[in-house]
Amino acid sequence: MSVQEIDADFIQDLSDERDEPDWLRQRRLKAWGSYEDLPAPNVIQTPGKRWTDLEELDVRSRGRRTDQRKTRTGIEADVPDGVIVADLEDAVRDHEELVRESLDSVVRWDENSLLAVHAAAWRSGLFVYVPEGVEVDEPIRTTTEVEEEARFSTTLVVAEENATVTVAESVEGGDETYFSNVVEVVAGDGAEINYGALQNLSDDSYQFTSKRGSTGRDASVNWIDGCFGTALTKSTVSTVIEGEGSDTRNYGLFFGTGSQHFDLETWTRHDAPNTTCDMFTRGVLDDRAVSAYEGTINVTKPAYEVDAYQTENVLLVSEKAEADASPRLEIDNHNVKCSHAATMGRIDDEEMFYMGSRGVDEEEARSLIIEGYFEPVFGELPFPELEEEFRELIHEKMETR
Amino acid sequence: MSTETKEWKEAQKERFDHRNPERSVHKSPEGLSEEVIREISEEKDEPDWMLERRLKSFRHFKDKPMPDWGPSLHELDIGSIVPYLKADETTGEDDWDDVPDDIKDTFDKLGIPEAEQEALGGVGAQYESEVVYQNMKDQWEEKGVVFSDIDTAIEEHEELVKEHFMTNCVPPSDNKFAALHGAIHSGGSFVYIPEGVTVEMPIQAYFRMNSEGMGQFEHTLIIAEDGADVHYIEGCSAPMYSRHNVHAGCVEVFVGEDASVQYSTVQNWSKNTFNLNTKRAKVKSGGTMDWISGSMGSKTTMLYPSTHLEGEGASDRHITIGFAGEGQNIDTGAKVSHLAPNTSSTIESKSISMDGGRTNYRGLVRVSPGAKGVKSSVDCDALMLDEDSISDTMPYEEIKESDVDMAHEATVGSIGDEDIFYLQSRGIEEDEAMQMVVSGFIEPLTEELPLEYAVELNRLVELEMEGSLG
Repeated sequence: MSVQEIDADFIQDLSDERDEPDWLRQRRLKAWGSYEDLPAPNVIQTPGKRWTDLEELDVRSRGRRTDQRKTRTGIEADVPDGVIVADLEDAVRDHEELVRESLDSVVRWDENSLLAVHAAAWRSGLFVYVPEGVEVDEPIRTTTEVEEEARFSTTLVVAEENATVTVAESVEGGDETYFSNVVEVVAGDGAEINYGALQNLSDDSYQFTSKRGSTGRDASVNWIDGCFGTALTKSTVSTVIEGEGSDTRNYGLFFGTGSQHFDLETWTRHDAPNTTCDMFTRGVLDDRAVSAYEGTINVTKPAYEVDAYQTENVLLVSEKAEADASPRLEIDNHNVKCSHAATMGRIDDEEMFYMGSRGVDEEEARSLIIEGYFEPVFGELPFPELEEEFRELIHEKMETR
Repeated sequence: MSTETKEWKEAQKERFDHRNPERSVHKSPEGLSEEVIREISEEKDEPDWMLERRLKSFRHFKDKPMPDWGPSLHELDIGSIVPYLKADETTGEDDWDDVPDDIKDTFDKLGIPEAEQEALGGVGAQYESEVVYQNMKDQWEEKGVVFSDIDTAIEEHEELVKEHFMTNCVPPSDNKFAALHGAIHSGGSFVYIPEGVTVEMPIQAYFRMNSEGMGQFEHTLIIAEDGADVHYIEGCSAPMYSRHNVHAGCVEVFVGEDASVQYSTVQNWSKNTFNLNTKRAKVKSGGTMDWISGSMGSKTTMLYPSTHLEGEGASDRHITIGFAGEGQNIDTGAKVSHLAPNTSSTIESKSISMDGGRTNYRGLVRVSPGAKGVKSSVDCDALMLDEDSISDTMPYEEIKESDVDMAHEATVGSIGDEDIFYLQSRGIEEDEAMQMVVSGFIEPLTEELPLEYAVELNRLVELEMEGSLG
């Protein structure tokens, strides 16, 4: 595969071919003109150690062009009247004002260099819009089989007042692919948005993803995020709680084997009173896999009566695996209940012994324990099908290890 | 509040805030230069190797950037600090009667000679840049225990000091303030406990800054040979001034096989002091290191006592209390490196913030590959007393070995209204009720301290809270 670098002409052509409105073209060009001046995504640094080396991601982000195929399936969903589920490119044409309003409303492209490259080069995407009071019962389920050398995908999910929607997206395939993914989720007053992501790209691919939601009053934004593939992933899943009485659940799971490196950041910022968050991540690391986890609960001055909890558990099944973790609390309001907990350890000898006493052989016992380890992450959020796929994937990964 | 309590509290304030007129027999000009460093070294009549180390540290200091990851240090102007001030020709006396009256009076007010008689195995007292009094009770001196200031140790135990002083425990390249310390250190303690000797009573060193705008840079070097056992207590205070003082101490502890060292600190610097310390212990197999730290005073504290568990079965315990009132930023924590199998660490941190104060727990636990059977637990609890205060918790864990048992927990919250209401319904006034809740919050830690220090810490907490609740 010959690799073609992104340049200003490529960005210009991309925009021309689509006959994009001027504001979108300007956004691309401005982002491309600024990325070099923007900082790289934040990575934890402790004395003598940087948790993740972003260089390879950095090189690939602008070293590869997207190609032209629309390979996302599941967009033609059967949805109630007024609900829009469309390819984002088409939505720019058919629902320009709606897209314009929501793009950059939660994640801003000038936060870091990789987001800027994304804003310049994005092509594929999903747009979901649910009007006031509409509840979409069936989850919107998309699957993307990536064949390109790079893919820059943007998803926007907007739920107006008292609307409800669940979106689950999978991404698979890849061949030394760079996958850049931005997800913006905007929940209006009383709205509920559930967003699930399953990433199972090839182990020689790279992922940069930033997912963020915002809530109106009494709204919910919930996440489940599963990280299985890629050589290197830099991921952020986050919620800004802007409206009083809102809540968020931020669940995650990862399974690293070989020499995979996952840098996973989750955070919640409480800007409003009477709000809650529950952040929960579980992971298993085998071989020489590494996870760098950063979880932050931030409670700002106006946010009183906040309940916020965060847990990360990692199971290390190989001696060479490495788990780094930094669960943080940043609390500016005293009228809160916040806690976090993190554990790291290996499979309990007693559990193995017990299984052995029941006639389960050692390899089987390990598989059962590892597969069972993820179960607490499941069942709380409305993603039964996605969770079943997670289970299958975990099982598959166990088989091939 | 009863008149009696009020009087007691006034007396407490006088204890810490008492200031003597500044006097000196040698005072460096403000700021740092090679010339000033040479002068300090000459004044102390040091061997060449020590001067070389000072100058090398100074080069590191100039090269290193200011830390940008912690509390703001922009008000800290090292160029205007007086690095060395010798108040009197009298140094290292072993009889309080030989200490000049004004200085002795200061330590009397702080209760040092009294504590020495009652509960301590030895006492050192540093005033400004030099140790004015140092004494070890005969029963341990006879067993070969050494407790002296660093200058005396260089004269009498040159090889030991040369081998251990800022070489492989805290090298001057460690950080900006370790480098600063290495260039202009003065005073402090040298403690040597021979193999198998237990010092049954704690040894205490007290550090007092009296003058405005000065910096104190004492060095503590503790060597506990195999099977030795010692508890070292450090206290510190200064009167309040409008100009900033700086304290950049350095503590190096070598814990031998199966030896045990407890290092306790009750820090009560005045609220114009930048307190930027580097403390580290290296522990051999079966050894135990305990760091007990109460950080009450200072404007800004950056303190993360660190332990390298180098031998199999070595263990570490950190107990940290941070209390931040108005204008204070108390950034404390713990660092533990598990470098050998079956090592264990326990970190407990309790932070209290009020009146706009800011506390931060910042900790790092590392487990090296091959360090099997490591157990580590980190517990951080923060209590915020009002809406103006801030509390952050920032632990970092780096685990490179699967055979570990690592747990971290943290909580942040406010005093429960119900607790206060209940106590008030029992006829206890609100401010007293608050104090009771806070004392209860830190009790799991104060009970680890010797009684005198637990009482002292509780009094300091009361004093702090009294100021705000009036």
